[in-house]
Amino acid sequence: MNWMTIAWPMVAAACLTLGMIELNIGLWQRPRAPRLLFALSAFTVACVAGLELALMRTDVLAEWWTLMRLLDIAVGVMLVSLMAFIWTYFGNGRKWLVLAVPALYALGLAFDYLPGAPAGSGMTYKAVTAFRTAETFGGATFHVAEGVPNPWNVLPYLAVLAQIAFVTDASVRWRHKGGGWRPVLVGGAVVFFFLCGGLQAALVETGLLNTPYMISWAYLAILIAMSIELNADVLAGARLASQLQESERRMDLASAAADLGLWTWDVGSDTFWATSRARAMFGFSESEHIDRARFLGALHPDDREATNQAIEDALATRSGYDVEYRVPLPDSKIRWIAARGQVERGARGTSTLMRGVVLDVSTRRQTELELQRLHSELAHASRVSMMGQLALALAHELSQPLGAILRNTEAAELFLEHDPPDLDELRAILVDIRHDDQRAGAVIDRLRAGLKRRTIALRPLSLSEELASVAALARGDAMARKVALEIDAAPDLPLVMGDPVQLQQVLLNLALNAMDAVEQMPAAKRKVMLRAQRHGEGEVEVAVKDSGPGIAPERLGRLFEPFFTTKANGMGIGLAISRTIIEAHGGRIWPENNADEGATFRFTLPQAGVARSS
Amino acid sequence: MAISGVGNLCIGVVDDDESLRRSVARLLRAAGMQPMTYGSAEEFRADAGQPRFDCLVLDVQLPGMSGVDLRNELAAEGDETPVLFVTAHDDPSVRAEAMAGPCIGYLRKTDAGSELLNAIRRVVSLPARGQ
Repeated sequence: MNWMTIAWPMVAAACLTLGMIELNIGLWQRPRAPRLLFALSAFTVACVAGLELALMRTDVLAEWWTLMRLLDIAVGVMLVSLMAFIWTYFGNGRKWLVLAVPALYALGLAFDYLPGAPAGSGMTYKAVTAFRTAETFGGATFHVAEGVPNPWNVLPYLAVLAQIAFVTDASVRWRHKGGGWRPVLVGGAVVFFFLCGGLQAALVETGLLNTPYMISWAYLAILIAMSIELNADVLAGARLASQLQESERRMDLASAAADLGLWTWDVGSDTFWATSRARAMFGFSESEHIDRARFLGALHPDDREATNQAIEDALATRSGYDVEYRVPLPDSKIRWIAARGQVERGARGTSTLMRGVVLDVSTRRQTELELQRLHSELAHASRVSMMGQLALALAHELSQPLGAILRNTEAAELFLEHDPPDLDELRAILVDIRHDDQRAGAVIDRLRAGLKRRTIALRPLSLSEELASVAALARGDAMARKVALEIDAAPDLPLVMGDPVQLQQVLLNLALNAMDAVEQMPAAKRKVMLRAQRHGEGEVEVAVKDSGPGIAPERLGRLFEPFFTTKANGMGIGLAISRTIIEAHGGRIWPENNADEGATFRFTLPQAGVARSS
Repeated sequence: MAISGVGNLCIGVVDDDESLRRSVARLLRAAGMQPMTYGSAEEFRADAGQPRFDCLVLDVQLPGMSGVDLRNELAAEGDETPVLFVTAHDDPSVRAEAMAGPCIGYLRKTDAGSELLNAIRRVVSLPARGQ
């Protein structure tokens, strides 16, 4: 026939397509009402398009009348469903306007179905007088009915006006509630096309416009506007989904880079979800079902109990989960795994989830164990080395009484050969031998005490005495190295709580270090001073001062680190052990550079009999 | 052990350990020598009335001036009295320092007294050598 036979079916098809799309979404996504109402509107607009096409092709009154009355019903359903859709979707609007639309339209529609009315008499015309053939763009021809207008035909137009009022009102309210420009655009488009549709119908019915009804075109436009609005949400959802995917990919990348395994445990269904990395750490295959028993079974038997307890604790307190455990590997190696997680309520109320990460910490763990082993070895070595220093000093001391005893006995043998033997001299020799023997015994006792005692035994002791005995031990060394070793203990120094053997080790270590420090100085400038004095409340301070080159500032903070040494053949453990000992005594030890020359190591010890508040 | 012929030997002993000093003096006396003892090098230097010693027995480690220092001073003054070192602290560096100048022996305090006596006898029975 002409382009019209193509255009109207296309409008109908477009409406059906939109309706099907929204129906499909509406069936699956909440809230359902707006989309289902939209689908209904779209389907009725398709019907309207079909009826419009049929009307323009008929010039038989009975047929026209039937079609016209169906069209009026379809338009009514379309208006009401569109109205309901906008009402549910915008979520506001005046109820009386909502009710006014179907009420006004129903009144107008009543004229179509008055009992006993002749054919052609209805809402639009009182009577149809004739059909004429009109011609429009492109030479297309169609039929138009001509008749006596029904004044009550104003009712459907009032319904459309009520609808326009409703949409305008609802859009304004939506905008005031913070809807931004969306309600203005959507509402404006809807109102515009309502006006177009109503105006076109009015112009056709009054004979001013020589076209067929194009109500369906206007409503298709409305549907398109609403559809864009509706699907903005869907598009946003799709964008969110792709962002989520992107963020998941980033998460995967980050966890892969950090070598983290991710896991989630649904407590209710006892099911673990885990990334491939996490599964690989435990030796689980990709498809294996993991539950709590399977997980615990993969752990080292000694770690199962503790790990299970950590899970129970986390669930009971809804707090964090932070454990380390071992996983035996097939090649009889051990993998150390650190696991962190937290408990969260699942989305569906009662189901609880635990979510977390696992990290292979075997390397770190091995390093730690290795360090621990080294440390204990070195602690032992250093103890031996400090005892070695002590023993050397004691051996020096021991040689004096031993040498004296030897010479005395040899002298006694010679005296016995005299005639008569000098008995007084022999008696004096015996007294000296006994005395020297006791002296040697005391030295050995000190050495034995130093080697034997492993735990710290505090007792009140006099620092002046300890300084004197350490000075005696170090004197031989000091003399050999031409170091002037001085002691300065303040009179009436209070007693301190200490372990004499360990304190002697510290003092000897500091004194020997100080002597090392002054070694490079000219002999006249090699001075080491051991000083003890009161320090603040309830403490005594010991200072070991040297006249050496001082300590480089960047080294000051590191001196007490184990294995830190400034000496070519030092082990770097003497000061570390000294600090351990002083801190075990409740004191502090620190180095400082002197204002004039050299450096001073100071440590404090708590005074005996003074209550300490810590 | 013959002791005749040494009664006129005058031996100076410098040692800071009182008991050891006494025992050495006793040994020398028992062997028929004339010991004179000092607690430090300074004390030795300060003794204006000391005789001419036939031999000096010096402890290496002394408070203040060491035995080696004392020997060096004496050598610098042209004093050729034989010197015998005795040490409680047998350290290679100490030994090297002691042997670097004129000395007739280096003994540890724990070595037998007879070695000390023999060393003295050896040096006094021989005419003084160049060093």
